[in-house]
Amino acid sequence: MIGRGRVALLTALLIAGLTAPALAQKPVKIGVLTPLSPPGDAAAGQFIARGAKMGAEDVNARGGVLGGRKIELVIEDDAGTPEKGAAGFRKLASQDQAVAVVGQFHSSVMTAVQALAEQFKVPVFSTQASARQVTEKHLEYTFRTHVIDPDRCQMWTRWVKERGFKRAALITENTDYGVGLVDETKKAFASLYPGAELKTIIFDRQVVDLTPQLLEIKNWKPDILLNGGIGTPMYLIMKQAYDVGLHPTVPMLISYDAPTRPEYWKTLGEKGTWASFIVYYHPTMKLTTRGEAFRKKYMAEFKEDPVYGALNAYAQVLLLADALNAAKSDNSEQLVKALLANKFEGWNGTISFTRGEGPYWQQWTPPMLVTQYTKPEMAFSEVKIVYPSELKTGEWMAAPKR
Amino acid sequence: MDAFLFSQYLLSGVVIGVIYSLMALGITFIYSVMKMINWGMGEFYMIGSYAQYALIVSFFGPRRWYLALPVAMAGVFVLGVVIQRFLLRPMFVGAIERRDEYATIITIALMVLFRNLAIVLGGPNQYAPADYARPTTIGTLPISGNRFVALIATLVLLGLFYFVIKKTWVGRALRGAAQNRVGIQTAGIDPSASAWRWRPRPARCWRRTSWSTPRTARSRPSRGSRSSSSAGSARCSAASWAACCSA
Repeated sequence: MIGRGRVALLTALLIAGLTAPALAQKPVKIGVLTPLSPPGDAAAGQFIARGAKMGAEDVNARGGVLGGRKIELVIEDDAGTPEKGAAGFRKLASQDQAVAVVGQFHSSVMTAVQALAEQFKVPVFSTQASARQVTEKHLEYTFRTHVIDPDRCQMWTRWVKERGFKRAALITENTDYGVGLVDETKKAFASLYPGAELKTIIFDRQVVDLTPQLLEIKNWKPDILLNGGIGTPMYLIMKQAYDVGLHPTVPMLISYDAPTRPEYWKTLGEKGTWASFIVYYHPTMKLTTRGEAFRKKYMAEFKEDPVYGALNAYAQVLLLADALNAAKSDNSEQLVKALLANKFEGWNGTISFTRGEGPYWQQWTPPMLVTQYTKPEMAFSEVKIVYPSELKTGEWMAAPKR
Repeated sequence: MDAFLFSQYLLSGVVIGVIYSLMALGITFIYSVMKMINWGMGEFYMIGSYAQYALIVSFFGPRRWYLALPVAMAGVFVLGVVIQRFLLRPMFVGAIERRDEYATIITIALMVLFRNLAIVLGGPNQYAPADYARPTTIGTLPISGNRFVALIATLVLLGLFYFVIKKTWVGRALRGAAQNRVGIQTAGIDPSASAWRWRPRPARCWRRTSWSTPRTARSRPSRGSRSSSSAGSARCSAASWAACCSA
């Protein structure tokens, strides 16, 4: 007769034998929390999700992470609102047990979820949220591989100065991003371009008629209009500025890379011509091996050039896979240590995270360029880089009079 | 603020106010006749916009936008009829005990359904048809061709609505339904079912010689909502008129 001790030992061995392979095959979950419905910039979220999926596919095709575990993406819609973002992050961290979350686009949502990231000890990555305070808080579980607004505003101030525009008007929304743009642009104008005049208008994000604000700007007679809308508000500013006769008579600079998306011309038609806009990726850029492989695969699959959001989300998933392998664990503290201790191949260079001063905390910044559409239905691959001077591929052009 | 800018503000406010008034009219029309709030009202407008865009892009082309407008409106009207018939009508035939709660649940559910369907079917990208007309000016206000067309169309629709409500038998019936649903039954109108029609019945019923001539005195007495609900198919109750027209 077998003793009780032996029975217990055999049972333990049996359980261990049965569960060990299962544990070895348990996928590593990465959350993608991004806007996929209004009022968020749903098109941006769609591209981010697309890039993240391609990243996970590539990692899994190469054998996964941590000795054969597959990457499983869990995609959640934050709708561009802090409350939905917080709910989505809680689900990803607690129910799905995601080891990290990527895909953050709206600064207001990022600001809300980074507090939860500290609470749940789950690293969160800003894919396109650029507000200064995101990394200025010096939080342990917050990382960003995107530009920050002080840099953006300094760059457009230098561009405004180079073009000789003396009166600049900035119209933007009442979000963390928009309010941040106003503050940073005021600082940048005061320090870099003291003689110039700056008019700022902040509107409610839900407003669909911006005619009064644009009429006020038109009557102020600016030399340049800075469009700080995100998603629908960006298009509304563009359309309504054209309708009231402000654009393209007065040049417009759009604060981010939305015009690179295929929907731009479908939404604006000829009204989109002569817009200048900031981009972080240009088809003529030299990319890393990873970036180039992604671009080829993306073009083969979607028959269009990739947009920056997809590239950045792809790179974030791949660098997380590298960090998991370096940490040899999916433990969040080990993962953070690996993220800080290693260098990773990004889409256009090497990504490393250091704990610098102010907003340069666990931050990696891609390049920023000013480009311009000069004809209707112009392909993004044809646009010229007009700023900064050292990377310029063409001259900025004023629109002919209407 | 100078006088020029003030005049622009004023005109801009009037233009957008007129356009919004049409939407407000739909909400109040439904509420006054049906005594329910349609929480999905915005989504009906959204469906109309999608339908109009799809028709312009894939069927009529940008030059014949004026054909897409009535077709899109008719499409949403049909959708309103279907929703009224199958989802809202039970409220008015005694099938629902808590009507207010039922209406709230149904219309909020429709709102969520339509909103998500739009994202699933239309995708997250933004689309807009080309402008219907060139930008123009009203006094001191520069205005887009689209908004100008919307303004004129709104004024026409408001005028038509006023005429129907004030001058026609149908309008009087609707106003009666809004004021006293029980009272109008004494005049032969059953607001909850199909006792009054948008097409005159030929035999043995009351006759009307003209749509614009009120003949409530000659109207057929109400037979009660339950018994009359089995009458012909080409009928529309006061409630369904409100739902369909506003949709």
